Amino acid sequence: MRILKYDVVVIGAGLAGERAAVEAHRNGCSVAILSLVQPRQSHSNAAQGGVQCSLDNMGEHSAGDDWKLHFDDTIRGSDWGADQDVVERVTTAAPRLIRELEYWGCPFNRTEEGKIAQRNFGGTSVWRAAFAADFTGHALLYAIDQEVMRYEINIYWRVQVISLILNGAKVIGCIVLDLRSGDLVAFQAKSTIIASGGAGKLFSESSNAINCRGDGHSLAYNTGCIPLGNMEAIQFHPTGMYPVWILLTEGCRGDGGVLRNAQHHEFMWDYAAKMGNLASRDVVSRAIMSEIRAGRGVEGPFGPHVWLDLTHLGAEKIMTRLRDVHDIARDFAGLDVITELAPVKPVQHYTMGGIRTDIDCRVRGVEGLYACGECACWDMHGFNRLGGNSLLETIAAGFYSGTAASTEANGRSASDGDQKAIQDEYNIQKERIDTLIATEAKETSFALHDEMALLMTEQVGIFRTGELLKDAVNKLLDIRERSNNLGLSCKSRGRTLELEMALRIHGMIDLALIISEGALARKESRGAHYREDFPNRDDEHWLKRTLAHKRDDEYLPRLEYEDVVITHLPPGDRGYGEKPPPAAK
Amino acid sequence: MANNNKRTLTFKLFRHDPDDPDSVPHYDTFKLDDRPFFSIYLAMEEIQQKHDPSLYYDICCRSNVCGSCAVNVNGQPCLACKSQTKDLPDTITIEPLRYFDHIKDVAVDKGRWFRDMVRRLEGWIHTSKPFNEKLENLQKADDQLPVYEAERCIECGICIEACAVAHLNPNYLGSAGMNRAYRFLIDSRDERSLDEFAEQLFTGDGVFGCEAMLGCRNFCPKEIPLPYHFGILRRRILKRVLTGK
Repeated sequence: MRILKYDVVVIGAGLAGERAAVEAHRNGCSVAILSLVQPRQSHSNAAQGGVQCSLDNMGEHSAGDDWKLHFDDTIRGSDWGADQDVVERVTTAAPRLIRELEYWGCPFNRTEEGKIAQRNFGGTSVWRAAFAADFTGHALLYAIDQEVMRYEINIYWRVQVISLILNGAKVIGCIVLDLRSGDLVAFQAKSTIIASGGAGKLFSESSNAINCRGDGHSLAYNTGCIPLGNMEAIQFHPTGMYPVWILLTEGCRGDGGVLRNAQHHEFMWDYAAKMGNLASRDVVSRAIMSEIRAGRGVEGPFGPHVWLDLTHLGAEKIMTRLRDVHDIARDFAGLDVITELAPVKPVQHYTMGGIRTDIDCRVRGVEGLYACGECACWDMHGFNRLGGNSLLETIAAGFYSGTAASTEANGRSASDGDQKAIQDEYNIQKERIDTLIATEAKETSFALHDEMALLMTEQVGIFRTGELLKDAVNKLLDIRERSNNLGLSCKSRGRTLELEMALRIHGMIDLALIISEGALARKESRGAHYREDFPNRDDEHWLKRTLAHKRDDEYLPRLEYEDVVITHLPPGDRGYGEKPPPAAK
Repeated sequence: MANNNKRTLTFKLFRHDPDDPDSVPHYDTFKLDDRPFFSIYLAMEEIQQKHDPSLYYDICCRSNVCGSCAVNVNGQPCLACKSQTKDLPDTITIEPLRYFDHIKDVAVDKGRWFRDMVRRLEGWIHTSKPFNEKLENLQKADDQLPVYEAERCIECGICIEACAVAHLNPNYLGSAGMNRAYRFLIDSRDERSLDEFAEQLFTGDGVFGCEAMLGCRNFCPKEIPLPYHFGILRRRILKRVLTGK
């Protein structure tokens, strides 16, 4: 057995993971980053529109902006589901953290004075999103990875982390499958940071990359002692491009684009009288689906959709500020957004919930483990994340988790029993793979995945009901049971997509169950979680965070609830002028 | 939008596992029905998931932003996600990029090459200015735009694959490398002078290696004006060498 030792091991090489690694390195730790894909190809790349921070660089458009206004927008966006101490920490640190990225070389768009330019975004009271055209995630990721290169931080790619190693209640590393050689390797760490991104591929219609499959969520949940928070809080982005489900950024509407129905009516003002096209994503997604339900959607070969209209913006604005949107529409749907309407429909976009951490990104229930970015429930987003706040979260949580993890690593030495714990976990994982390879396939992980993902889109989507959710839970339980019959037809240990998927499918179905069961239990509507049978927010009973714990004896999680931290802004109206969507016929 | 052309497509996929001593390079053939919005990526996914689970390929973002899925399709390098069957003939041959370290079937490792390239060029900002958390560096929009244009490179490796010089000279930095050097050289925030890039750029492994066959421009999926960036570098270097300025 090969054991590699580092002070800090980071799982994931996206924005959060690399930012954490840089911070841990600067605090004197030896650091390794583990990544499924090669560096600079993580899904952080795909973030388009911008990153929220109250720089107030836009004159009258950003007048009066400060951390408190950003804080208020974030809490209203979250529908009071976010922890206000965390949001205060992030919004106050944001200008410094984003200026640091500029200092590292991120090519942000500029104002006439040469400062970082900002654009309008959904659910914000001023222009606050700093941006690099519509490729902001890519620009930020390259800027941080340049620091990873500068410091010569070790990065291992084409590796899959398949379990955490625990010695008692301490996480002391992880077991890693080298996807090229097929070898199992143990990474021993004084602290471990999970930064593995989202779980969009639980849904068949998702804007996410192929590798957003909740691997980190499963690693934590499978320990049996770590709770996942608010997993039912799933964001659906209003403008996924039909029918390939590639995102067209909210910056389209921030820069003046509007949504239209089949009659070309600009319908958003009927649903959100104050914010219109720039209401928060949950409100806009519900409005689109309500239009479609009312028969005012545009019929197409892959079902109904609505239009995103950019035609009044002009070629120059589109080609400088929305260039990738232009290219995506041209390359993937064969249309020109300068002159033509783009077909769009809401698609799964973001997992607000995740591995529950404290304000320093320390994972609850164990020692030595941290989580940051989309895989974590820090909890900055509550039940609806504002556009541009995810990029901010990755950078802020990366910074704080890197700081906390390195402080702990610097004060910690190996304990008795570490070697035995590593050997034991290694043996368990080796046997798990041996068994999979020795078993002839009765069920395949890809077929189970397709069945699950379609079910999630159809029954655990934007409009939820108790009946649909109950049925989804039952069907998922059946899929989970059948996943025990998994085997492999490809008997290789390395260079095989079949084994990679087989090692994660059980975890994915568990996550789908947690989402569905959490949604079934939450008898109210809050942010992106909308129950048609309980259409109102219920602060008296549900101003709470769901915590899902793994049970030994059954697939369904044990659900607990905890109070949300409220410091400055008590629950109230979100300020979008929202009217409730009409009931289904 | 619908494509009503009912075609059956024949996919010929390159198969070889260099780490398996028994593996012999060959092509496997699969027949799939064409459909609207069908792409090389979707075809490989369907083949791997429903017909031959042993097929190995790379895919990540599926939207032309991450650069992981570059392959050769009918002999031309392209991104599998962006390459749609409606633009292709009935028989489609998919092969790995030849330039990079072959992993298996149509997957290669480009990471090591790009890490080495960035390391050689010290592809990070060099500045003596301390970080000021109260005010960012001021940069004119006209100075920012060309940096952004070069920064749009997604390190897919297609410009290297499409370059005959790169195939002949393993040390050649190629368009991806020149574009990266250009990005830092024109960035007002980076204090390095042209001379500090001399060792890497003033040679046949740098700007003087290019033979202007323009494969990089023809195939770059982000349509970055690579020869233009190359030209600016070459002009500045020639001026430096010839006039000392």
